[in-house]
Amino acid sequence: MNPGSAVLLSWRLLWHNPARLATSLGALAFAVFLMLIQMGFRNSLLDSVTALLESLDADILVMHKEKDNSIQRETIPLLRVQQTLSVEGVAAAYPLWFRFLYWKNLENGAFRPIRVLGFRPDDPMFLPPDIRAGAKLLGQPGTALLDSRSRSYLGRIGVGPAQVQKEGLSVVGTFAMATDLEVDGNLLVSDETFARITHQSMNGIELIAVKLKPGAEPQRVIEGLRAGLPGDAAVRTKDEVRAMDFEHWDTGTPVSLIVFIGMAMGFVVGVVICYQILYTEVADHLAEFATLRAIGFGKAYIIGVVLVEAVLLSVVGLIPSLAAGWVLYRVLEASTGLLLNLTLPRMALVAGLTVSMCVFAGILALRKVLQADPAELF
Amino acid sequence: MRESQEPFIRIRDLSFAYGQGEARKEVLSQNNMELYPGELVIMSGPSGSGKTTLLSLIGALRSVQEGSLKVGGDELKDFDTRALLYYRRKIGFIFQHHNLFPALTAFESVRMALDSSDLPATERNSRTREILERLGLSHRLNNKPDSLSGGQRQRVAIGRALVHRPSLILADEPTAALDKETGRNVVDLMKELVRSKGSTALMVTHDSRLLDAADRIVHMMDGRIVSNVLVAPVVDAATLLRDSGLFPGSTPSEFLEVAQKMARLRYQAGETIITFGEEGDRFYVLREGEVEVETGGPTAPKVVGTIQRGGFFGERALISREPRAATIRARGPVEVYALDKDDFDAAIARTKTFQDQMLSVIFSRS
Repeated sequence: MNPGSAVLLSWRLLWHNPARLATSLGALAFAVFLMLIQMGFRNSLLDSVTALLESLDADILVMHKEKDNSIQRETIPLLRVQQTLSVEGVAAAYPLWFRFLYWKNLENGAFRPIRVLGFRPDDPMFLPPDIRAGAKLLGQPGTALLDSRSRSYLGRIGVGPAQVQKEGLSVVGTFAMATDLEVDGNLLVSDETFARITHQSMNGIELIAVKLKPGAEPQRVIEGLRAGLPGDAAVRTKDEVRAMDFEHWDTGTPVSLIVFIGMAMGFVVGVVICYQILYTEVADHLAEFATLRAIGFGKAYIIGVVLVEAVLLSVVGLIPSLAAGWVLYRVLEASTGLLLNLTLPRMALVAGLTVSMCVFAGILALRKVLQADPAELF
Repeated sequence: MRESQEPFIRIRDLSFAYGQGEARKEVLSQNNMELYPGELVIMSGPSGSGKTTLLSLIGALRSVQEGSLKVGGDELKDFDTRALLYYRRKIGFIFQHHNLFPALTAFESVRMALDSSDLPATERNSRTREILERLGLSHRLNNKPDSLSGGQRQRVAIGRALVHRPSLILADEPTAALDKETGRNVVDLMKELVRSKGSTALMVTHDSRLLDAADRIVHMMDGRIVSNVLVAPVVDAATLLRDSGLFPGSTPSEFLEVAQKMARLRYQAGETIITFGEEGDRFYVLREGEVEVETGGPTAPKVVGTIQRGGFFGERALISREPRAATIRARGPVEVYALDKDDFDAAIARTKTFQDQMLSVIFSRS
């Protein structure tokens, strides 16, 4: 049998009734939406919690050994910075302080938690250009940069007066980082301002961003740091810390399970929708399929027609679904501050799931088409 | 009328029932039939008489339960799935409903039937175009079923059934949706295929206008083939009986009924058909050739005359119950229609008029 004929028939069956196809694609898009949203939330969670990490210009990170994620608060002494710098291959070591403090919404007077990040403004430890540019404005004590993705209930996000705890501040610029399940907003200040608003010793730091000298062997430097630093410090590459953060949020919290169940629900809903579409298609043409069998087309051909139609349906349905999903992500990102990135690997994952969903539904619909009895035709 | 050629389909004691146990209903019962290459057979019979079931069994759409159904000498129930698939690809099925995919054009629907062939694409396309033109659809090649009339759809389905030049055509009321002219055109097309390729066509129809196209007419009743008539020889034999002047008062159906029971036999030059002194067992009507009549027995043989097409012989011994009074011998290749003694007796006994006329013929010869 000519396989091209099966593809042609599948294609024609799919496009024959444009109104039905439009309805089907709408329903399919709904299922893809469900998966995209769930996947988006999961990825957003992971992207958001690592947003700070990703913004650091560091090859290696030093932090307290008890930390199982980079956001967890556990400090090491500031002295570790000097100790780090003394290790061969290390070009620079930048300390970072952070603390959750209360930000006052000046519009309604409400206090909300915000993560305050302290660093030495002269340390080029951040990658984003907006932070690098804004850092120059933080030399003046009492100034701050505000994360433009901070949640709206923090009040007006922009340059102007602000208050953290009881300390008055002046927001002199903004940068784009992210919020997540724990962080509603970020405020970037100099170490001096940090000390002023926290009223705490600056001796305890959250992490050290380490830059290597050009040509330095990372593994050798890591070994040197592990040998040279006291036992309270853990030395990890940026990739290792990212993996640790993912591990913590992906498997160490119920969030990921909830998201997984949501995605599974989307998949199941998609299978049901696709099954309905394909079943109706098959049921409407049962006599025609029976005729094909009568005139010598084998079961393999019929199976091919249905499964190719399933794949075509998923492909045709995927393109508008992904486009609409991208728009949805932008809307959600703007309204929630969560990072929602539709990257190529993520699109590939949704595409794979959608094709699998339709093929699985096609396999279920095959039961019907294989019941087509050519003997009933006469 | 019986043939001596090898059949394409041979059915023996074929029975079929739907359901099981108390719900079992027999729809075919002990049927026998042969379908020969180059033959267009019309099957008729009331609804529920088993025609459709018989079609579906011959088309291997149902499995044989009891009896034998042989295709080209091979038992159909011994075919494995693959063999059945190949067998069905050689059949042209025409169903009552067109069953065309609404998404495909007329051209695509017909060309699909060639998908299993090894023909190059150009040949498939040209054959498709050719048959659709033949069916009067050359201007509808790119139309989908929803833009075709009922008759046009049916013609597309017929094109799909015939485009691969099948060895066997199984058609269920193929002309029901067609006007007279188109219906005739379709049957002519089938007939042409049957003649040129030696295909066999079995067509269920109630359209009496098509009967003249049939080589054989099969009639079914209550799951049985009650009549199986090879049309041309039977009509020929009946015509010869009528033209003989033997039975001037008989109706056409009486002639046909007698003719149906006659066997068509062939003899070579010099071969003896009837031997002097033997018991009479058959009545003969000469279809073709010439025979000589020899009286006097072996001791004093004497050729007293000849008989040509339309002449008859052998009736006297059957009626008088006396031995043959002459030897009849073929002078060249000869074909005769022969009626068995029992059928001959039954025919005579059926009507007094018939019997009287036969006796009067005998009387006139003596």
